[in-house]
Amino acid sequence: MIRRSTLIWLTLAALLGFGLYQIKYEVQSQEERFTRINKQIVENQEAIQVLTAEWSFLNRPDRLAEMARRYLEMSPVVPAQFAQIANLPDREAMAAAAVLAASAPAAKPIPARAAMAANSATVPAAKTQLAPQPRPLVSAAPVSGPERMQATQPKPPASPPAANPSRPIEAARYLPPPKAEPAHERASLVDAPSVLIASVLTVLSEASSAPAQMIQMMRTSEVR
Amino acid sequence: MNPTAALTARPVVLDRPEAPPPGRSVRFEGAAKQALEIGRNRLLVTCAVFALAFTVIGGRLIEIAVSRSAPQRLAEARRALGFVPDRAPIVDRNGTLLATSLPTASLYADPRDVLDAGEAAAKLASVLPGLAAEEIQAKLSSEKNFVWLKRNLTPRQQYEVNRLGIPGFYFQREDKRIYPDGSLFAHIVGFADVDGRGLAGLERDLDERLKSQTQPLLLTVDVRLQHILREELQQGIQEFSAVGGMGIVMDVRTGEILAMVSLPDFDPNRPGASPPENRFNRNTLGVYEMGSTFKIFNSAMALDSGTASLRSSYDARQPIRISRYTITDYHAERRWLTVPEIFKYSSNIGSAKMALDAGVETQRAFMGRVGFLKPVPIELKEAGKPLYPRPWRPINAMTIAFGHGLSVSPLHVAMGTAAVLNGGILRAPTLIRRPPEEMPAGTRILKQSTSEDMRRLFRLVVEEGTGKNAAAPGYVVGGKTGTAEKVGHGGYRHKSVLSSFIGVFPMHDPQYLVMVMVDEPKGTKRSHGYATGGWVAAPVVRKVITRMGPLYGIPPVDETSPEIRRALVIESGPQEKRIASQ
Repeated sequence: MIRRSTLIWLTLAALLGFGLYQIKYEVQSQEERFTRINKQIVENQEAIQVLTAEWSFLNRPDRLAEMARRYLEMSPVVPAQFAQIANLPDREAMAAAAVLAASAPAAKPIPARAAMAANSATVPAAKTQLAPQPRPLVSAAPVSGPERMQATQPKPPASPPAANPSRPIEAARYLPPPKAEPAHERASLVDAPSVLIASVLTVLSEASSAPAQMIQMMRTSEVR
Repeated sequence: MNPTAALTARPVVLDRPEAPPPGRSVRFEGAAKQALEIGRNRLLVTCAVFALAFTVIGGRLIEIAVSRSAPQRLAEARRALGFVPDRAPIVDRNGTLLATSLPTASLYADPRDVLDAGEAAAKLASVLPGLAAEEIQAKLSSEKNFVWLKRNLTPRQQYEVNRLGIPGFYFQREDKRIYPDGSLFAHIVGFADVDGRGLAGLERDLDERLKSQTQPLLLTVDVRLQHILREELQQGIQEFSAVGGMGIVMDVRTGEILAMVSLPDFDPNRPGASPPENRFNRNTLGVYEMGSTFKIFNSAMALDSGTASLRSSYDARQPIRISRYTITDYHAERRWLTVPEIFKYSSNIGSAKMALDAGVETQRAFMGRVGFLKPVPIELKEAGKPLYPRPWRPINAMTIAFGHGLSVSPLHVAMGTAAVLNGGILRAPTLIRRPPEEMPAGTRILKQSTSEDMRRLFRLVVEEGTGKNAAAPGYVVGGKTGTAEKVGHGGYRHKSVLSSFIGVFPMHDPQYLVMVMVDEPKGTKRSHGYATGGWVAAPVVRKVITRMGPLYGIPPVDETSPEIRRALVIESGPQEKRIASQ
């Protein structure tokens, strides 16, 4: 007859053996996963290395300048496009002056902001004379209706700026100019993915320099 | 006698069926007892050893299970190293990549394993068109056990070669150095060879740093500005059919080089494809007689040593004849000229007299202080040795006053000009970006007041003098023109000149220096046949500044504003005539 303690020990040994077996296999599979993931990490790091090289190759300033010339209706910022905040006309003061002139018969000056809020609701039919008025935003001539006030509100450009790259667009006079010239606005090209891809392909196929070939080859092989 | 004594007489038989009942100890005597004792002792020792081993293992298990750091240490020991390129990447001041290493495969063969050299060579040549079958066959027939067949294959080529399945061919992973911007930074970054050894530029000078660290090397240059400078310089060279040119943009406050171009240049991806002379870095390795731009240092020396002030004047009516030389003025005024006028009209006669007035020794000491007598301290091995006269005689002092007889590199001049205008502190030009607290302090070579006087002279040249073509409206440009005749066979060649312009802006608070030199320009109709610095180099400087200002967000200012006028005005007063002692 097998004694009880022997039975317990045997069971324990069997359980331990099974557990050990399980853990061993678990460890083995984890090791494999570990190696696999490590390999992937290295592959990804290599791919990143290649892609940064490609990114930088595609962002060569001479190429960007050429792309900007071809696809953007913008030209490099020139010093004349800079303006100082201090040199801007004081809109509120001018608006207040206009209101004063308009409401002179009422003999009671209306605060500019209050007038603006009230008028936008009560004006029956806005006169069409607003739209064609170019800068200066508020004409010096007193206009009869309080609706004149609307000109002081932010107004969408009456017509899109003429597509003339040599002429700075109107907004540039009042807005802070972009920091870099378009040729170096690397982000701006991303907005047109199809254009980008098409041009990337043409550039790559035309380019004969060593890095272009190398990078192109690497990319295609990775895709495959 | 106890009962055990009775047992001793009998032989010990352990497997007797009638074993002593449990609980009753059995004692042995004599040899048997000794044997048992030994057995028991051995057993005990073994048990102790095993117990110790199990305790250690158990302790270790508990440590691993309980302690937090142990599993991490284990994992770290197994962590993959990741992709480590053999050379660190090089980036510009904004982090744009200028040089990087890409992993590639290189093909080599063990000729002893190749079965049929002829067939293998023919097959390989069919997939790698750049290789000649005969050469491969010769390599494969050699007695060696290792021959390179082709370095840095693209993955596609590697695939093709693999598909051939030729025994004895193997791949070795190697990094290939890539310069995405091509020739833009050819002379600054330089290039490395196929084995990853730096051969030129920073790749050569910082070879150890690039190999030992993986962090990108941050430079002071700006890829956008470099492009602008190169483009404008290229246009200038084309317009005046020149043979070459150089340009430098420098921060005068720190000595950081923002852009540096030497044309013609080469593609560092294929350095062998361009003529070797294109690898010559004109900015640092080339030393030239600079011509009138040297009057910057002549005037600074005279003003700083106190022999002249902005009110001093010198007799420039007659050309100076000394031994077999005659010193004349290009823009001759034929009258007494004040120091500002000498600078404005770039008078050689006046400058020579200023130099003599200050003294030969003063001049020599000053040139040493500005660093013009030793190679320029830059992180490039390509730094040319200046050529200066030994002994330094009065005639040399006179010619050096207007930039002949002492040859320095363009970067020398940029470095010196920055010191003259930034308040008088000489700082070594640098290509490596450092945090502000690690900036070298620099050495004072001029009084602050001299530097302020020099700013006035610089502004005068662009406002009224020879450098009007450099005036970029709103940027308060100041500068100095230079037109040096190049030394040819048996003397100076009048037709081949080195035209230069050093522009600095804004002049009331100098920040950036833009220097352009054009080598052997030919006058055009638009320049009225002139090929001088004012006509050739000054417009290039103006264009660079006009494009650079918006790029760096420098707002143009009103050049006629009272503050700027006051900072740059040259007060008129009674002239003080000085006669240079010869």
